[in-house]
Amino acid sequence: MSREFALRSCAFIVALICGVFFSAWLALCIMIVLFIRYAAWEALFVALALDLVWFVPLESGGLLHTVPFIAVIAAAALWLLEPVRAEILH
Amino acid sequence: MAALLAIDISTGGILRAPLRAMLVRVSSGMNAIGIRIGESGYFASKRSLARENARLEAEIAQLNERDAARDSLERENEMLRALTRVVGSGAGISAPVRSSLGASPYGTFLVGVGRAEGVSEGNIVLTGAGFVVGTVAEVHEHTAAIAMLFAPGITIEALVGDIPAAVEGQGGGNARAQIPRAAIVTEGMTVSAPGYGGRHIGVVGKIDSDAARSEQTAYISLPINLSSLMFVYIAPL
Repeated sequence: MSREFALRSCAFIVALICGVFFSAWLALCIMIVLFIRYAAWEALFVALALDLVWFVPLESGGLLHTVPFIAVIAAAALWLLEPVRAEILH
Repeated sequence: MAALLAIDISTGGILRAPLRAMLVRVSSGMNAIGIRIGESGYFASKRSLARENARLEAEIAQLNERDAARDSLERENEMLRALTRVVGSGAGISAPVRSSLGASPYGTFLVGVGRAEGVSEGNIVLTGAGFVVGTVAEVHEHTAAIAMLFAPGITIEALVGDIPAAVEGQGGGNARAQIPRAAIVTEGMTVSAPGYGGRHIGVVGKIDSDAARSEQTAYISLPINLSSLMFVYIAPL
């Protein structure tokens, strides 16, 4: 088992547990830190799971309650941090 | 990922419902394990061993364990008793809270009752003291998602004392309202919402008044510790 696999698996589990039982913000922070080093696409599934559990579309709630933003922020971070990753890896 | 979300939304929660049911089951299981560990007296014995001899330690642990169990039952009993007072005011159902109230960034939480128990969308969710904490936003077979009244981004029309104001949710059971400076608002004043049958939704905790501004800010919160909320009462509006 490579170090990368162990780290990504561990981050996946910790982010999922944090997001479900403690704070989705903390889970998002873990994902973003992970994205700085790895193209961890599996973290998007954590974001999706958290949105499926917590997101409820509300007509009266404004933007926060119309867009599943954990998944959106995670996907955006994965894509936007690509140059940073490239810089670190090379 | 977007496709999965789109499928879930278009089917009305084909993925959400089993995921939430699973979370509620895991949460109940963890709760039961926590109670078992507490009842076993394992941690209490460890602490006591360092201080007392074996016999006294065992006795103390046993007594502590009984005491803790009694305290826990008393707390639960108090909460349920408080809920029965609310029950007296109308038809509804008491429900166990099955998720953390601070984990969701959307100001939502899950309860362990659903359509099968008679819960429907739009029902209001009350604390033992009769304060409205939220509304039922989505219902599944044995679970329901509750949208908290003071969720971030939610604005509701309310009465601070008898002064009409738009109350903006800040999350974590807190909200704020802008009130004309000429109006008399005091700390501890209750806030009610005509849209929720005139029920109380919070209490004014702090008032921020600046002579340079024509308005004062009232900081409102629920008069309970949300992390200790174990049961809620769900009733039709």
